[in-house]
Amino acid sequence: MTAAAGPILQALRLNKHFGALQVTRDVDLSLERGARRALIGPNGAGKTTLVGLLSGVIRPSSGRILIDGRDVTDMSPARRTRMGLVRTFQISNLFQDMTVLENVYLAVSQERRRGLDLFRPAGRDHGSLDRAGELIRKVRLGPHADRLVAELAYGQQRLIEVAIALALRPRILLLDEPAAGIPTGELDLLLSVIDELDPDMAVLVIEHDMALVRRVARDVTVLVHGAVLTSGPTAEVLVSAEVRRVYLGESAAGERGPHDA
Amino acid sequence: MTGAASGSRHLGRHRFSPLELLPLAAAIAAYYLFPGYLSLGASVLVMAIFAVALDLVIGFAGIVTLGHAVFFGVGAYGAARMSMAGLADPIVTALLAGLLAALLAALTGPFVLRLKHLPLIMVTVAIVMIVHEAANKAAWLTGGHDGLPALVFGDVLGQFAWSIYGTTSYVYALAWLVLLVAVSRVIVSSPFGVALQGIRQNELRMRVMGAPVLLQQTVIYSYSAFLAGVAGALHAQINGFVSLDTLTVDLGVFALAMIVLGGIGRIYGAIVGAAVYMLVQYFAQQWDPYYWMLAIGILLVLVVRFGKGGILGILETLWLRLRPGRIGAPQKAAGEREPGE
Repeated sequence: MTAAAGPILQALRLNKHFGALQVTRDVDLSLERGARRALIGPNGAGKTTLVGLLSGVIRPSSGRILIDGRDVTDMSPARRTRMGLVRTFQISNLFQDMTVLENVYLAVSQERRRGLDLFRPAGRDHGSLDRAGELIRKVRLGPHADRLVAELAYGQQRLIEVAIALALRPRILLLDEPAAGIPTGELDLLLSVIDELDPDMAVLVIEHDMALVRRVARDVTVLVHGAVLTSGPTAEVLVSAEVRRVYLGESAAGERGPHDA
Repeated sequence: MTGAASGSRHLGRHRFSPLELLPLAAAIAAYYLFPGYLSLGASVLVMAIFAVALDLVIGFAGIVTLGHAVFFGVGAYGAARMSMAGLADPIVTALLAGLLAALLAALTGPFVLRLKHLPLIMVTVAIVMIVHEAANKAAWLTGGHDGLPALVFGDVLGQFAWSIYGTTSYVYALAWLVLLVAVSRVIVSSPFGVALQGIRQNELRMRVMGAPVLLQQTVIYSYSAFLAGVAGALHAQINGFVSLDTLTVDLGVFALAMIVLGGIGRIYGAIVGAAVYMLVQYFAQQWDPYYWMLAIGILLVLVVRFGKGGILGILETLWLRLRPGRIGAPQKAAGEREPGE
């Protein structure tokens, strides 16, 4: 497990149960530098729980999580973020009573360790403000920089979510259903933002939209009932009969028991 | 790209508005217009400092505490004991009393601030009660029920003697208020200040962004305690005695009522709220010594019912309505939200 050559992010036999309900079962997952992996699975498969476990918002019942081979299982989300593990939220989790610029500024200024800078006006923190403006233009929200987040359309809020994640300079990026709520016509924008990501960045995207998965992911991991069903190159996994039955069959009918693998 | 900050409320706080001079002008005018009320005026200014302290933790950082009187009391008793030990210079004792309160906050903050919401409120209330009872028992230190009377402090700057008319007290308290508001203003406008407001709105998100949330909260808690401690010391200096009244849950509740009344999270709201509250209380007590709380109660209900953001919020809404051509443009309006600051 040498840090330099090994995977940048590793989950080893992760388990999580809430009382009697087991939502994550013996999950092994690893991301290499530059990975573009999608995590798919029917509703209720435990995908968002897994993102919570990896980012540290949820504590595992057992198992370990490693970043660069270093055990971070007991580390807070804040420390993991400072180590380069950044996630987005499926349901917009922004500062609703602040403008777009203020939202992204908050992320940039934390990343630049300005959070304890007491005596200089934030409005003259040009370095952070310029970078926040740059990120906002990158997700094409420049004209809305001074509007309150609560006034924006849902799809636009999703893009702020992405801008905030990028502001934190991730080495590992967990995108939790980035396309949810974005109108089909505006998906290209999200795709081009993902295309422009640093090729060395490891990206794990949770997504229902198969077109987006095919377009973005080189590898796919399929999660069913909290356990990894299969994992491999996108083309192979998506044509596998088992995956088609479990995933595509169930996603049409919703969460139903008899289709179990 | 800095022009983008112009429509932003939190990033534009450092800009000075001439309106900010209004409270100071009112305070100076009151000095000349009501020379018979300067002692009352001085206690209004002291409470304004305490209310600003509370606004910093509740209104900016979202730390809802009812136990801030502990820091006021520590400052008051601290200054009193210093004067009894022969350290009588008012400015030095006020500074040291403030530092003592800040130290206490820095030591307890990392434990207390892990709590949120109701548990935090309950624990802060419990702490005041325990400290109150301990101070009552430790009569050798605090004078117990009798308090510490007949405190003597030196002249301010070695020049201005304390008088029964309260002229020195008033100017001295006003100078502290102006200084502490100026520093607080800088702090809430800083990247740290914006982060505090992020914590209030969405703490989990701030944590996930890698913000050292507990440390940030402890820093503002300690700075706020410094203000509360200075206010307590001024209380001791101006009145010449300290009693257990400085260590009560009531004091924290009154200060909370003041900031809600004036407008929370604005600093100036705390000052306006303290002034209105104290003056209504004073004159209502003259009108009827038993039912004065009724007047305050009715006022609070009216302000909360009819205005978002307290008295300053109401004034701001009126101001925006009365200015023609400002209503149609939502983007402009968002930028003009806080003319009071």
